[in-house]
Amino acid sequence: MKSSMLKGLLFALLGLTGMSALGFDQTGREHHGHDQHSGMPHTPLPMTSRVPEGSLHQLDAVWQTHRGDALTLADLAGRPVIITMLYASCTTACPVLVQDVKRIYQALPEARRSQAALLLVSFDTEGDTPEALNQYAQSVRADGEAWHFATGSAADVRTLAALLGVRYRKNPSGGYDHSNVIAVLNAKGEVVHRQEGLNQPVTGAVKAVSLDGGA
Amino acid sequence: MGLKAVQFLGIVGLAWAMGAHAAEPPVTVPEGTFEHAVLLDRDVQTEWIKSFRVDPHPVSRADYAGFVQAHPGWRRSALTGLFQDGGYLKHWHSDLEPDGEPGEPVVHVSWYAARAYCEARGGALPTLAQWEYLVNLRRRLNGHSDQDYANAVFAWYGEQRVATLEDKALGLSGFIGPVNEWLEDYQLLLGNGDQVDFGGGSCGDTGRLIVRYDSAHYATLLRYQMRSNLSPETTASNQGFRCVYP
Repeated sequence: MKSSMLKGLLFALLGLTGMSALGFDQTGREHHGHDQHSGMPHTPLPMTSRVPEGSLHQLDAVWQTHRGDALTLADLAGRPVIITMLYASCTTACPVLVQDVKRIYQALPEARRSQAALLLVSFDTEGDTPEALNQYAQSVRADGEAWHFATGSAADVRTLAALLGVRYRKNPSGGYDHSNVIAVLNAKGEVVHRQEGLNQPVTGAVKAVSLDGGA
Repeated sequence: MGLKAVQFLGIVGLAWAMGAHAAEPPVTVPEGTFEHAVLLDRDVQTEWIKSFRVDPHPVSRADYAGFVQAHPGWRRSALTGLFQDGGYLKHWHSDLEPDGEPGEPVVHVSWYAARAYCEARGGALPTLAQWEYLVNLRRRLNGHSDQDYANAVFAWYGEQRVATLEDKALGLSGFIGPVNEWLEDYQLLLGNGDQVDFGGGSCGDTGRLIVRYDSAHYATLLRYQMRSNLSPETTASNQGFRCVYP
């Protein structure tokens, strides 16, 4: 076995981005890890500037909300957005994710809470019709004006998941296995906070929303 | 670009000097059973793959130039950092002029860009199951031994040596070099009941779910792992793609 081959195997086994280690001409960043965005410095931009380079407002996907409205991320410009991905027939992690979003929302200072939008996008592009999501919103008591449960095309769901660093896959029982991620977008659509896991403390997300001066 | 990469492109250039492949129609892939080498779901060993059509070669630079011509938002000067890591088409002479031979596979394209190209063609990136099914099918139909397959994969990841395994059965080039190929769902997430965050696809997790500990399975595991480590905005000199169609 040649040494370079051993080296390749070794790096793969260590779970590193083995390609740069092998001397390939790669300008890739670290892979979307578990903590990529938290702690990332956020430079506030002047109000008059164009959409910032990292803004998710560039995603032109049109979502259908549980109220039957069409919604794009750009429609939420000027507001902080707390965003997560789930699906309605999920009985384990997803209700906890909804509660986590609710806890963050309720912990926001009053002035920010009144501006905030909560966006919960479904993995289940077949089962989660706007009607099904509406029922779900009622059942988890999350139907205030701020709440937007949303569905979209399978390709757009995949894109959003990539942008948020959410991994998911349809499982044999018809549900979805997925990572549990909550992200905060600032008024310009940039990810200013990202947390992974259930029942996380709300402080990081609340701080991220509070520090963002709004549009 | 490193010397290796230059040599590599030289070899590819020779093989692909016949020109762009845009005119070559997709190949119809027969339906069949995909036997998972790496069990992404602990209880799912096989999966039925419906017939689909696939590009016979990785998308060429000429093809990609045609795409950015028609879709200005995907030109190098226009594409923002949300969808690429700063290296997008970085060796091109201009927004519309590729470097190298027009028939060479396009590289330095992010996953987002590859998907946009396929969508514009009325297709999509292959799913992991479709693409790996093709790898298995090529091995079987061409009678490649497990050891030859394993050697080809290890040589590609170790030294970037393109596989000499020819596909006479389906006429599909690529797969094990000259580029790695983007897939729609390339990022691994391993399920174990409700416990889904236990593995973002790190190799220890993948390794537990390998079907057999022989060279061929190990080679496949290596590919799954290397691929899963990429970020969707990654652009690299060895990263290209092809599309599939219904």
